Amino acid sequence: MPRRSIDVKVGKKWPSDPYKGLTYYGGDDVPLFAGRDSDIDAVCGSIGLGNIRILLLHGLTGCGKSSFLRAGLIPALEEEIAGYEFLRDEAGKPDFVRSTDDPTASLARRIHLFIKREYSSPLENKEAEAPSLASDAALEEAEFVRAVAADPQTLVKTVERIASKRPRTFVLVIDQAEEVITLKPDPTGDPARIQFFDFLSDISRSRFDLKVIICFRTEYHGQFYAQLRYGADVGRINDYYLNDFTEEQLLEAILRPTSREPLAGYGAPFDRYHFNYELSLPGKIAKALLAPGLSGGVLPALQIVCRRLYEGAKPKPPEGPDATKAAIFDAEVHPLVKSFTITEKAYTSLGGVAGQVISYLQSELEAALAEPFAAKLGLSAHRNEMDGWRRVLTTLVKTQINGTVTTDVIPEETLRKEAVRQGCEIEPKEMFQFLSHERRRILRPVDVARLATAEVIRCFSLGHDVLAGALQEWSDRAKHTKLERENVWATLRSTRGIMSNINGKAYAMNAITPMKWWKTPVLRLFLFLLGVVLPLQKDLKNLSFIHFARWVIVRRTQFPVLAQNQARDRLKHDYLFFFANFNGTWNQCMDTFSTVLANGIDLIWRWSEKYPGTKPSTQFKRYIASVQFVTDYYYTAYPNATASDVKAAHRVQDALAYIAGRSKGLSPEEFERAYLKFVVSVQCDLGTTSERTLGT
Amino acid sequence: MSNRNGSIYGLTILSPIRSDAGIPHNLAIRTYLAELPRDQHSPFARLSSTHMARLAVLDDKEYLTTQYVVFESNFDGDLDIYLTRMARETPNFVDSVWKHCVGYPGVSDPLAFTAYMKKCQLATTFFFADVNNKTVQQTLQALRTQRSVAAFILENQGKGGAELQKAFAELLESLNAREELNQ
Repeated sequence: MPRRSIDVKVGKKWPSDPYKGLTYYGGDDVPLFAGRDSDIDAVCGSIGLGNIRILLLHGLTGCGKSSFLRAGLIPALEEEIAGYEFLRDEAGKPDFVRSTDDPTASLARRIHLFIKREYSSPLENKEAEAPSLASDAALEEAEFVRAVAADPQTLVKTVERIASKRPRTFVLVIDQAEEVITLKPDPTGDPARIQFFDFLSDISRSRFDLKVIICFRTEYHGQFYAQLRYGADVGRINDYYLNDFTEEQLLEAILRPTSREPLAGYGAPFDRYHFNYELSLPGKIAKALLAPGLSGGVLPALQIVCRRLYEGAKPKPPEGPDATKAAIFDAEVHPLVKSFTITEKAYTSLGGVAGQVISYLQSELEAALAEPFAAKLGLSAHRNEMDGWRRVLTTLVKTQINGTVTTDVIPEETLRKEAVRQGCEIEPKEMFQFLSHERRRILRPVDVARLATAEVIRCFSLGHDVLAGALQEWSDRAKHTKLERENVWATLRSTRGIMSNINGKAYAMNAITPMKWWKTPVLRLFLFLLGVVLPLQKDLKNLSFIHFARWVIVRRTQFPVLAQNQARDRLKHDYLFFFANFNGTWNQCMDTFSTVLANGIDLIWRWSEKYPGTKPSTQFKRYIASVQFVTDYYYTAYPNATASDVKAAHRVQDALAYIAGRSKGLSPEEFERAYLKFVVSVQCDLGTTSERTLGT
Repeated sequence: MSNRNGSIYGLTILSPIRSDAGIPHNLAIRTYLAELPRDQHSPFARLSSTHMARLAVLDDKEYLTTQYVVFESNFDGDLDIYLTRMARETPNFVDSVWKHCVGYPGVSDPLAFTAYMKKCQLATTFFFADVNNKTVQQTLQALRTQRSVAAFILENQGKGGAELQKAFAELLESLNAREELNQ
């Protein structure tokens, strides 16, 4: 069911499209926005707490953060709860400040535009204290931005002054805030990052009635908190994870435009859009959307699939001279229009859900080639032009150090030059305009403000991060024919320099050695005793260079068989697997095996075929190298901590817990003595683990 | 035989890779794994009880004609819970690797997936864990505490009495607050 607020509105028009494609839902789309009621209630509750100043709203790419805010949260806060007011743009729409790599500058610009519109009146001058909003408004934009650059507190105070003058709680939204981390990850981005987090810290401590909502991708949640917790009042920050849609929510979103249940003020969606799905199709689409391996986010795929199905099945309006009729046909409720059904056949011929974003991109580029601005060129090679533009768009794909693919923000001029370099014949300006059209939203114009110089540069980003993934996949496909002939894995490893067996200070080693079957019981007995009585385990603990290690004996008949028709090996030998997670280099580890641990190691491996013994160590190393196999993927929750570091850290933790428990109620002098003892007890355990740990 | 050392479970899985003519499943797995994040975005970071884990494609030994995915993991707690979490919390990852393996039932039914993985499991003959009584979270917390204490001692050198006591109380408070944040 839609939210209650919808029922009280009258005379509202349905949006012209039942599905949005890559465009987000806006304020006019509230009756079509489905499946997020419980999230809206939860966020309203979370942000409504009086002391909360900042809400971190995050989710995976494609979970619908922008739509959630525009068509869910803002109407709920402004109209249902009615105690809130969001920053507005020139057109009176909620103004989401696009972060860019310098969000403080972007925000300063938008705030300046707002006060210029709202507080330039001379009356403001009279009643206000100095400095006033009117005096801020009187500044040129560049001057204001420069003043903020010199002192971010200027911006905090301006926002507080606005908040104090509004009758409702004033709310700012900073969108795609991960850009402050992703666009300039190197030190050149540090000043803008510091300025932004300082600004947020000040906001978190503000006594004024204002809220800031920061939207970003979940992948950057850790970095946000890490930055915030140093200076901000974390008690006044809430966060909310916007989950991906469940199957039920997806069904609700797919079926909402087909509902025959009237909404007060609107009528029934079916009476506007006149279509149904074949009975089992929505369930099929929802299941396909949730199937593993769908890249790029569920909601964009849903929107694109449903929109293409709807547009494919919709009766075509009259063409040519009957254009007026076409407009009427398309835009308004028409009682005579026959309903139509979207069939499973249409869905199958669309190719299902996977790959829809790529196919959407392709079809939009093809559509561009049919536009008058392209047709007039009489292009001889459509494919070349398409490939050229694909490559131009791909320059907007940014792969983060962790593998996440996001959109970059690039000046229009740079993109134009790239189009020329790629040999594109279509005039870049016209193509940019076409691709940025609200209905397509493949490109998105972004005006990037610079605090340092106060200049504003027209840039473009991709309209959605899912496009970045799709473009990369498309480019990969284009390269595939060449890669097919080669060993893909070897290529990847060499070009990317992946050391897949090392992660931070940890090294993963694997070995497999054959043993004559009748030797196996002896080794099994020895390994059993090792676990119980023999000193190797103690030696390993004392040496403290191995986190975890294991030996696994597999009888020749014990290799897993999962299907009748599975090809099976006829093995003569049993096998011994060895896996270790150690610190240091391979050579250091082998040297330790062949010296300090030689006796135990010999007793374990002497049953394996062709084992030369630990001495001399060169032969031992050659043997181990020959029986090793490559680790393709290695993860550790604490890559920068050695086994010794881990044990030391636990000792520090225990010592701290001890002094924390004992020091309550001590006089300052007694405490000083206890503290000194504590420092002495932990001083050898404070060695550095140079970087942050990874686990959550 | 012991898959367990203290509170740590040592899981060893050997899953036979499918051998459909013309489809290089081993390379497909390797290609996927080469791209998979190894940091906080790793699927194993989501499976937060994982201390260390690895995957290897075993396809270059002349005496084994069947190719295998080798999966080795060292984690806290119970095997069934861990495998169920794999199916529920990292379905894309599991599917991307194991869809290339014989008999893989998918992740939609975690019970079926758990049963499949257990069929592929090898019993560990000897398992060593250097620290075998701490969870991943406890270790991460200890490492964070260690850094904070080191910084604190450095910053508060020369202070004494009430001033030191107050600073120490603030350290404890901030550590507690931070742990709450990280929970």
